[in-house]
Amino acid sequence: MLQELRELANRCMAGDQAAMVDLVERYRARVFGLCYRMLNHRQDAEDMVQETFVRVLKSLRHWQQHRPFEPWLLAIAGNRCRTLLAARGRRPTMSPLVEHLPDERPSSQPGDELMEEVWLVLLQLRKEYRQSFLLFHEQQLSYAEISAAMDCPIGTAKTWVHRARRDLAKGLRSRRVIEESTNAVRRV
Amino acid sequence: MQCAEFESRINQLLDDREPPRADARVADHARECVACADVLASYGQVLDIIQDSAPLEMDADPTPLIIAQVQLAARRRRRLWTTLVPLAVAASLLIALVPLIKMRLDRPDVEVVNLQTPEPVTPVVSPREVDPTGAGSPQPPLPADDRQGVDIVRMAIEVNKALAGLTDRLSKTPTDDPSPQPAPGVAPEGREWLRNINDGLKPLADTMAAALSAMGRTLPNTAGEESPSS
Repeated sequence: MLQELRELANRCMAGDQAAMVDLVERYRARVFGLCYRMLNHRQDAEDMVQETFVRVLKSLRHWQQHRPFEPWLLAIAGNRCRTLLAARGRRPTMSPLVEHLPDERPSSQPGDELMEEVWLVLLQLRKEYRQSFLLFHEQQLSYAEISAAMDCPIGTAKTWVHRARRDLAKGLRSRRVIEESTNAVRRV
Repeated sequence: MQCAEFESRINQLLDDREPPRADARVADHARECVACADVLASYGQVLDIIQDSAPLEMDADPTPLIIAQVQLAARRRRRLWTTLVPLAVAASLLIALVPLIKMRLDRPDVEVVNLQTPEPVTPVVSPREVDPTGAGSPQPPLPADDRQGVDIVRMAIEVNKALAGLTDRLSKTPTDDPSPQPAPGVAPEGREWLRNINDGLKPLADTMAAALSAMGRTLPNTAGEESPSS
């Protein structure tokens, strides 16, 4: 797998367009998933996907080929998202009318309010907690990979994921969305 | 199990990617403690949702845009190099020539002579250096300041020779080819670089040649410096 990726990367660096298309199509869903969960804005997430892959293709020579590719790729995506989130924080807020325009596309699981609640609480977390949590639970990266991707010690990555879990659970409890599950647990 | 260790046990299990509900100690404690059962339920719910959520799809395929941007960036990088290389060459030459230009400016009264047809150098000999016996004994060594000056002039003459050779070679490149078809093996950008370099070097070479010629004519005969007087 890694060998195949190395070859793909080498072809991309040599300017092979088919290889570039292959690389983008292979990873774009994962990158988009991370960006969308980080930003909660479809258009911004799509822009970030584009920006991430442009950056990746331009700087493939910086990827250390003995290391896994995905953490490196997701690190770039995460950094782009964090930069955008920081810029959003500095920017004056948009009018609420524009901010809360409904997404009229059918959701992947219509009517799943619980899922909406979870994602809503996730968005309230600190961006480091959110990113590390998504990398661990959604992207299935190890702590070592998260630490490399987020340029932090493994212990810090672990702490961020633990705090993200705790804050998420706390957020859900405070929104009273877990009572049925509690009963279910009690019945166990 | 105590409530205090309940949450850390859950985290430990989740770190190992094991379901906390399957752990007997955790399940036992959750049955006895309502608060911890809530905690367990909320953790479970969060993780179920994260793992069960369908992969998100993008509205449009971004691949063509990405490829176009990468290619545009590559073209820009190439263009930047074609601009930077001649500039860097010209800048380094200028830096190398600054001391010589300064010397030329410091002595505006020197006669400008073309180095291509150098006049014979007449050694300047001070009266004290003339051998009264006429036996042709070697001249005494020059003072340190004079020797340094002579070395600089000689070095400058060598630099100028190299410069003249370079301009000569450049002038023979296909840059002078008036035909609209590019010469084989030379890209149009390359022809442009060579033309720029050549145009930049010529006046510098001419100026240096004039300055050095003037200085060369006053160069003392220091041939005897090397051999000790007998």
